Amino acid sequence: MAQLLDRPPLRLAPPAAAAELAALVDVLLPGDGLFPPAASVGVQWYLAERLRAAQGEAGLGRLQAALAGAGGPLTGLAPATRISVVERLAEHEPALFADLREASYLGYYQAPAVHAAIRALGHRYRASPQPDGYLLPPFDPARDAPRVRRGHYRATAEIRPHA
Amino acid sequence: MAAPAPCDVLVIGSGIGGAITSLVLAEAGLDVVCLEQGGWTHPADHPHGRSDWEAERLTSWQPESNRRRAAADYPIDTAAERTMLWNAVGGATNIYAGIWPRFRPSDFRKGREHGLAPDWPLSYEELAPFYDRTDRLLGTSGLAGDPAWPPRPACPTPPLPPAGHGRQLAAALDRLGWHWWPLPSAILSADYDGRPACNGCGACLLGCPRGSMSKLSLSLWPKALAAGARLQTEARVERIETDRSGRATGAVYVDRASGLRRWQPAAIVVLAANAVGTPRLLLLSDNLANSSDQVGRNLMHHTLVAAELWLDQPVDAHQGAIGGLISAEFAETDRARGFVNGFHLIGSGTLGAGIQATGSLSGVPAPWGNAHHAWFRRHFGHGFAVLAMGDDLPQPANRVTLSARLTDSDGLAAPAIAYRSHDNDRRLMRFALDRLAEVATGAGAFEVRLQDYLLPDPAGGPASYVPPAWHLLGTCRMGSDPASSVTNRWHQSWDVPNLYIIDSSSLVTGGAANPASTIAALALRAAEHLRDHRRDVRQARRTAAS
Ligand SMILES: Cc1cc2nc3c(=O)[nH]c(=O)nc-3n(C[C@H](O)[C@H](O)[C@H](O)COP(=O)(O)OP(=O)(O)OC[C@H]3O[C@@H](n4cnc5c(N)ncnc54)[C@H](O)[C@@H]3O)c2cc1C
Repeated sequence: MAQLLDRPPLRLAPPAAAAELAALVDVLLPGDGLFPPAASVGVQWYLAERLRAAQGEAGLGRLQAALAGAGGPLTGLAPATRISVVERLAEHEPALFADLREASYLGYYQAPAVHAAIRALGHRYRASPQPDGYLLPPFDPARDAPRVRRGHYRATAEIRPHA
Repeated sequence: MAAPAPCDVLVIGSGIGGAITSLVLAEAGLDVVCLEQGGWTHPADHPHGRSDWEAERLTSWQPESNRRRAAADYPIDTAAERTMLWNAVGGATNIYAGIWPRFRPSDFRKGREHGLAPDWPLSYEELAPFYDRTDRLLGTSGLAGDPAWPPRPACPTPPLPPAGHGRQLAAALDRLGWHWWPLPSAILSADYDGRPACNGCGACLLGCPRGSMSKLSLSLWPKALAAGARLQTEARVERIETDRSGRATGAVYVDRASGLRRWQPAAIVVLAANAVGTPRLLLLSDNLANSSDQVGRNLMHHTLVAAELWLDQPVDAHQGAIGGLISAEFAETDRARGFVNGFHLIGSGTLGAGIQATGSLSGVPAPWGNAHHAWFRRHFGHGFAVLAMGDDLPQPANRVTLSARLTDSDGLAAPAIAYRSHDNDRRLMRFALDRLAEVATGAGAFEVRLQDYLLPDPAGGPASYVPPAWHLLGTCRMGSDPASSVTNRWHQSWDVPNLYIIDSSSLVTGGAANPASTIAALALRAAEHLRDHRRDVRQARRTAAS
């Protein structure tokens, strides 16, 4: 499976298609004061790789056609109009849209700049679970065991037919 | 077809059942050959060190084999469930979560208790010593003294470090006055048996490349191989052969590397291909061991409903082992609730930011557009999941058969699965959903999403329960009566006295607990019995009841 790339892979989309993908991922994940816009961290390249993996060379063309059918292309449209186009895409092509959104989210949250934003919110967050993991304080019976010991079980000899 | 020398015991499948059987018999000096259709899943294969690890969980590390479609997978013809398994050395332990509760004494006596499922031909007390020993063999963590289970010795390592979500859930359950206890786990909290303690990476749902979780290719197979067991990977068995007297003589398998058919003769055959693969293989072998017509029937998965909830306090549930604690408050039958059987509540962590944004457990993704980052700030690190896992009734119509339309890459008929939840189980799930909502209230959640796994019928009919089926159970159950079971209490086929079935298909009921500890304990018990009676089994013309 594709990893997020910091630069366009050579064999990727012609510039117009790449710009359209960049516009799309920025509508989905526009960025704010802390979080970067998706295109600035390369989510469009990740999306293109995923489309290629799932649907081959035709995937990108299909997406462009679907965007055009919803009122695109996005490039050249005002920001509010771009949102309307993507809303229409979501409504008319729900399965395609769900795939695009999933791939965009998964690509976005791989980006080092996004990890830095998550850390800036106060969370311990690593680019990958290993090798460091997240060491937590060990189990302390005095603090971590149940204080009130509840619970029961029926022993084999006690099992009777229920009324 | 090349004809190698017969081995003493041929084991088919290298998961928990096959691995434990191979170890016990090889340590006794028997010549054991294990045929496994998959290869090795090496530590470096796991995506834990990669930035795209979450995307991997939805693609190459997707637990649903029909969506993953790896080379060793076979298609499963079903729309009734989402079947999950892993075809490689160690089987499903390559991707399981290592949650390790035991069944309860009542799980073995459902016939006596309510009669909608049979009694097991053994009791909890008979299995208990094997539970204790498999804990030590595989390496577990946990805390003895839980009043909701019979007394047991300490686990080899203490409970795992509690994660933030576990603390919050414990407080909520205390507020409700409900039982909870640290979750028993096949994940080490301290170095043990040459394997390192868990470092809390939180990606348990993609397996464990460290071996802190008992992934059998790292924990048990090295011992079985050292004891002399011979493991043949990429070897997909297509048929078990028998002689005129009806005794098994060995198996024909496809060497997936070369595509050649090969023959492995054996004095004793042990089938351990799981509750889908085992009945499939018996059916492919001209309906072998099926005079009872029970092969493939009584497939169980557990009932599952879940809640994803978010609290104001941070819990950072992407940190720490995936399972937190277990509540047995509703585990025993109480007819006043309107159903038989019960369920456990299990607190669970989440994966990382990407999976959380895609909807994690609930399937409802985070909003896109301008609302996305506000959602993320509010929800990320504040959510966790609670699963309510119950005991589904064994039903003959829930079954594995052979598909008339799908074959695997070697041309063998794929399994077809029919599964429909019983009315009793639907009542159980509705009750459990209400309890999950209470947990969310008790925890002070600002938002909760309940997941019932109901799929609407496009034609307007009733919604169907389409479970994520990671617990594949039943289908070749053991019993006391050859007319209603496939094996006797020692896992020996009633029809083929030198054929054993030692895997998840042997289970008579599913309990309300994750099954791996029970599959392991049963395997140790069965393998030692086979070891001790192997001379009789080699000669046997019929299978005795005890
Ligand atoms: C995602 C996931 C999470 C889980 N989490 C937990 C958990 O936390 N706790 C718990 O208790 N349980 C859990 N389980 C369930 C548990 O892992 C399984 O029930 C258990 O491991 C099954 O063991 P087994 O030996 O019956 O079969 P398997 O582990 O499935 O092994 C069967 C093996 O047989 C091989 N095989 C099949 N057919 C053939 C053939 N024709 N020829 C050769 N080889 C063949 C397969 O390739 C496979 O390797 C989980 C399962 C999944 C999928």
